[in-house]
Amino acid sequence: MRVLPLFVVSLLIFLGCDHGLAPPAVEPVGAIRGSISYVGGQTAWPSRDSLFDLRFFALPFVPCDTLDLFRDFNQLVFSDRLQYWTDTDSFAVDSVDAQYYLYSGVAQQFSRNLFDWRPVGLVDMYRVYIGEVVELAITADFNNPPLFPPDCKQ
Amino acid sequence: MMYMSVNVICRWGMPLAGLCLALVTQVSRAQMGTVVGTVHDAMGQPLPHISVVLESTPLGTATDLNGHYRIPHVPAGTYIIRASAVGFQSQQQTITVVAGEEVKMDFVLHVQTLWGDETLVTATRRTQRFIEVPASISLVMPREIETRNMLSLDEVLRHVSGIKMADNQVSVRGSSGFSFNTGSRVLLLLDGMPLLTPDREGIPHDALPMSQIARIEVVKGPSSVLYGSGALGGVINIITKDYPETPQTTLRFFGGVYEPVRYKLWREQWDGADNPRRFGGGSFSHARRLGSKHGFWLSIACHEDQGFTNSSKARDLDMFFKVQWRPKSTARFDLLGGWTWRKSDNFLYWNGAHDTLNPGELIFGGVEASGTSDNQTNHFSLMPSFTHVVSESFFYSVKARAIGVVIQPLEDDGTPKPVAEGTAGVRYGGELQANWMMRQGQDLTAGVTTEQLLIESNFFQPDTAATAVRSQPERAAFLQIEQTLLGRVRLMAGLRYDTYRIDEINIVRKLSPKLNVSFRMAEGFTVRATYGQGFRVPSVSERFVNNQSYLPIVSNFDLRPELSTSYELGFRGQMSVAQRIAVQTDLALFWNDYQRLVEPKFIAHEQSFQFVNLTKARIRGLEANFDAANTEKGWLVSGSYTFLGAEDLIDRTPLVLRSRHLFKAGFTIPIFGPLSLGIDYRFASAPERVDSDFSRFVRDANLVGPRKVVDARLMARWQRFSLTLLIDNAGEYYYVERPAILASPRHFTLKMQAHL
Repeated sequence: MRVLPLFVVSLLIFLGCDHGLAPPAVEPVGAIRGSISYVGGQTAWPSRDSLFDLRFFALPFVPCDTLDLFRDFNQLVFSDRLQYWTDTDSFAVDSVDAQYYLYSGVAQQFSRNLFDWRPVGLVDMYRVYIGEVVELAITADFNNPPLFPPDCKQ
Repeated sequence: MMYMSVNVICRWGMPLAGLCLALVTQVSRAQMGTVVGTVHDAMGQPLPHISVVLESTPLGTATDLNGHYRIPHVPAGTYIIRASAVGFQSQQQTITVVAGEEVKMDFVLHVQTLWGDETLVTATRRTQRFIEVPASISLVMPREIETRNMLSLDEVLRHVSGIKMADNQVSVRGSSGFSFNTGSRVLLLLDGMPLLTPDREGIPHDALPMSQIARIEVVKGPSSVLYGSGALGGVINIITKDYPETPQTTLRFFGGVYEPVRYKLWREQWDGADNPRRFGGGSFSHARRLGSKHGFWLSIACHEDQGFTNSSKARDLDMFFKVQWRPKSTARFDLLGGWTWRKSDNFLYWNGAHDTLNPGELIFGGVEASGTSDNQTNHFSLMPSFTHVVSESFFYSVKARAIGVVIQPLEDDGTPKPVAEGTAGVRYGGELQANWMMRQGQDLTAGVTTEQLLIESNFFQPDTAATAVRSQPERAAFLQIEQTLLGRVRLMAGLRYDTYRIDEINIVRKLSPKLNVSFRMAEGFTVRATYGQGFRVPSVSERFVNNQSYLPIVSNFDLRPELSTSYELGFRGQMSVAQRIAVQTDLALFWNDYQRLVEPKFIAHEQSFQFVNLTKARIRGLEANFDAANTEKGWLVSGSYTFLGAEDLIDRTPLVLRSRHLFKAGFTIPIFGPLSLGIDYRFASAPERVDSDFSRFVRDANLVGPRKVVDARLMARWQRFSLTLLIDNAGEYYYVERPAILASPRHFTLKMQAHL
């Protein structure tokens, strides 16, 4: 039994080298900021009964349908709720994963149904670099929204 | 003749131990003497709770906290007196009692194993010697609970072989993955009575009388034949203490700190992370006999914890009591009750691997879900029971139970919201059980049970009827026959019929058979083979929960019962090596098939999670337990290994969140004087598959790695006082027990205990 204390110390030293779960070595994040211009001014806005939410969003993939949004919900970046009935607005989303964003813009929830979202303005793909801020300028048009879902066959 | 009949009754074991004692009072008081003495261990420490009996008589008692015992009213004569207890080699001496005199007899007991041959278990609804139980069973004794300062049941179960905890959820040999702590596949019994919570049919780990536990029996494998739904993966039976012969008062205080986490990135996210987070508490318990027919114990405990993560503070207060009344030598009435109040922040999921100490947040559509919930919980339980010995070969018991829970969400200032915004439920029922020894070696156990569950919750789908109360009444009858053949073979066959009314139209009916065979190869060595079926009716909360506050989840009225079929081959052996080292081993090969397992899954068209009958699965494996104790040196060593091959038979993939390897080991050694050192190690390999649906919504929820946890303790014991320093997670290992919640980092506890 005299070897037991030695064994205990060895065990603790051995186990002390492995600390299990650790944070990512470098937090790979940047930020997205931007401005939004609404086509047609305040008169072009939809009525209140078809405007349940409005946010900037960014996705690292192109969704082929609405259910695709839930394929990896964690990848979805979105801003706080945007202002309604305004000509222009701005947004800022900090701590977004540093990567390519293929599908970004302004999205409107047009009914109470959680899946009833549509984009009303999109921007081209871009890349967020670690520690850097991407500036976007988005034009949104409630009356001529982009095709959704987009044609994934292309 | 009187002694003979009493001895027959005493063979029924622990439930009737009190009756045996009561019969002492019936003995003629003429020509009486008294036997007194003290029982110590090899180190000279007094041993409490040691059974001291006069052989071939019903006369006996148990030692108090100072190791003293006293047996009054002993008729003059010559006796064999025996002292025995779990984990110690029993000792016997011959004494002569002289009328009107006091005879002194002291004992020194040597450690045998953690689970000795004398241990009695009752989880099979009949008292049996541990070595004879034809099932895989682990025991936890009160000394282990005290030494490790375990405040709740989940802390105890983490050290039991074959068990893996996922937060508060118990998985026996891989029976469960993670289901938001809802619908336990392991049944909890308190003194033989089912005690799952009314709200989630989960195990109330924080609402149990931890300071008054006599032992915990963990039966692995389905036990629906005896206990019905819920016993799909196993049964945990908590046996509370009886009142002692001499008054006992125990005070316990503890305090400690969580060490700040080592990673700066985690600490930077939350102001509270840079300083040690405190916890502490205390308990008081008192037990005594009141005259010749009454006795009680009472325990009061409080605990406050700042929590090591943001939003995980907790405060709780609990009070439990047990009153016992023995109106006649053949009858016994027990009343066990308790109340637990708890106010806590509940951390539900983190904000990702870069921010593990803060709760996360889900925002999509119009839904904003939070990774934390604050609530106040009141938990009540009341369990009366009555046992009557009708004859030498027949007794029956009538038991009732009522368990209530009230959960109220908290306002921002900590004020509880109205109950209507939370949950209120009650589960009540009763059972009648009869035990009949038809002839020597042939025993029959039969009974009927009934139970009702009424619950109303703001988190449930509203009922279309006028009432929002959900219910699920249950009725059952069971029968078990045991037969000994040729003195070495023990056959046990059982059948149980259950009915559950799950709504106005549908009734679930289930027949559960079980067949066990054990063969005693030699004294201390048995082999066993078991076959059994288990089932679990989905809980009310799994069927009716409908909430968007914490994670979008919708009800599923169409859930069907889960089923399991189990086969096991086992070997149990106890031996002595070189007259000094006692060894015990248990080996088991098991094969469990599960059907219609209920798991939470994200349902796209529902835009929410839902509990569904997802899959069927096969879990095969082996489990090996080993315990050794040196009776001279006073050291103990134990270890267990469990191998699990858990396969999803639909997807042909590993079953979600099951570890292939579980390994647990520990030892206790005396250092010098009153000091001893103990270390426990727990290992669980990383699951081969994690819950991909949960990780769709919660950042880094798929980070479920292995567990490698070391707990260390340094103990000093003097006569009535003990001081313990515990260093839990001494290796500072960061891990998760369930997705997206960091388990406790290294923390230090100083515990003081005094027996007054």
